[in-house]
Amino acid sequence: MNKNLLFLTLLIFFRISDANDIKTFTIIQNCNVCHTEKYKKSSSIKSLKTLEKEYFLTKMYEYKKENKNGVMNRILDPINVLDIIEMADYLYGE
Amino acid sequence: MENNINTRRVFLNNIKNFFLYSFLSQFFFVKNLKAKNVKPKVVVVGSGFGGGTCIKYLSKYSKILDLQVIDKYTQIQTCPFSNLVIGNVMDYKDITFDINKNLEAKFHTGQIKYINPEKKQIYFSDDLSMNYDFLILSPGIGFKKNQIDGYSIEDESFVPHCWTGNKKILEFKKRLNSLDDGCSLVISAPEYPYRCPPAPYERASMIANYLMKKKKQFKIFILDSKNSFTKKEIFFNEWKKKYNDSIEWISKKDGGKIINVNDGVVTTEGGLKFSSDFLHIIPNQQASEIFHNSGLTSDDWCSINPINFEVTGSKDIYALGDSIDAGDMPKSSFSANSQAKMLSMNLVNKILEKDYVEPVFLNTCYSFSSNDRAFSITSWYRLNSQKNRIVSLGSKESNVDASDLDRLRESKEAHDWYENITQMIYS
Repeated sequence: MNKNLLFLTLLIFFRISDANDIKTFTIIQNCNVCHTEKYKKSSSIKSLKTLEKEYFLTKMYEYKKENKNGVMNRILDPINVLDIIEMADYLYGE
Repeated sequence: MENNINTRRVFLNNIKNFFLYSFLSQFFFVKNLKAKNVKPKVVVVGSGFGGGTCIKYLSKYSKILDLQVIDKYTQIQTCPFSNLVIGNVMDYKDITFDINKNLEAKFHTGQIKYINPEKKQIYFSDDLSMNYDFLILSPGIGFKKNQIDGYSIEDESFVPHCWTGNKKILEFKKRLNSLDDGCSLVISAPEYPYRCPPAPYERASMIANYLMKKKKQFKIFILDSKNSFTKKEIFFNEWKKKYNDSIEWISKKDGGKIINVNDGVVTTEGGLKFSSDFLHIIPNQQASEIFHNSGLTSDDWCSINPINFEVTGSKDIYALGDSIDAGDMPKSSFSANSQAKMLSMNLVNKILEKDYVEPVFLNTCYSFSSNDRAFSITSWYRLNSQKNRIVSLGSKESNVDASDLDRLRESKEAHDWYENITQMIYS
């Protein structure tokens, strides 16, 4: 298990939000407001479906860990690690 | 006595027959619909960011529903990024899109007069009508009248407010272009709630950006009906950095609220008087006229059930976007897009007789202070524990003292978001 996945696994025990009754695909529907399936090649905002699962998890981990105040850092703030793993499973399969 | 018993027997028989008939007719009606494969008619009113997203989403379900679209225009001019057109950063054609008719839906162009919820009928201004099984209303915003003495939205001698998508933005630019060096401008910012809370301040920034590029000296007064506004500290910082003291904000408590306009001179609640070369009034707002004309709202905004967006007290009518009371959610295109997805998802669930899913919403609102400097505010939203109100999970803004690189990065992200979302809806 790489370091990123180990970090994610440990964080499972520290749930940030209480989003049990919110389905993963409803969260992803909101991600798709920017990460649309149709996008220009030059766009910095790619469709989530075009990414690899490992890359997705690594980037999400970076956004949560890094001490920045970018749009993605703020968007991920209330999303807990379980949600992220479930999103990855939903998008790319378990 | 026997007569009474007979009468009662006949009466009970009639009741029994009535219920039996009702049950059987309903049973055979449903069976008949299913056998004939009759699809419910879903009518979407409006093709902006909210309605357009519903159309895109629901058009994928053409096997189970008959989708019809009504808009008064054949082209959409978006309100997002219209301030960049004013600032000469983008062209008018960059924010104008043909309504996407290459979808599994029937499109109609027409002006709606009102809706009769009991008859499930839509009435047009040319006296035609259309029925529906489910109606989705996303018509944008409406404006309050008689808020400022001497000002009328319809009076074309005033600078157009440009708070809806129409070509008046070209007239706005023409007037802006005619301003001389050393000009004075007044912008009135409306009371909450209104479409796109930071937009009056972004508009002031983009006007300043435009005039500065034209090497003109100017002074912009923002006379506000509020005591604060979203991203205020960032705007103040940006104005100081980019435009020195050329933009001045006067809050309501400092007497900024305009109460009268006479011969181009505005008078505020605090007794201040301003004479300007460019008076730009952004009117106070309310739900679009269609809601008021159809009895779908008892006050300024349309009340909805936030789980499925059904209009309170009006079965099978759904509403989203700027005209609804969406709790903590601001009136923005991003919000409308997020609401549209949740609404469409749960309407499909209803048609398929599945349970509703608990909605969750996101809003990110970008603002520009100049052509390559942007910043944003972000928040997630969900339902409260009583499931009757949309509440924020806490909003966060860009840093007030962010670096030039961060501002540039956010401006790139804003452009990418706009390109992606318009491509998704209109291509």
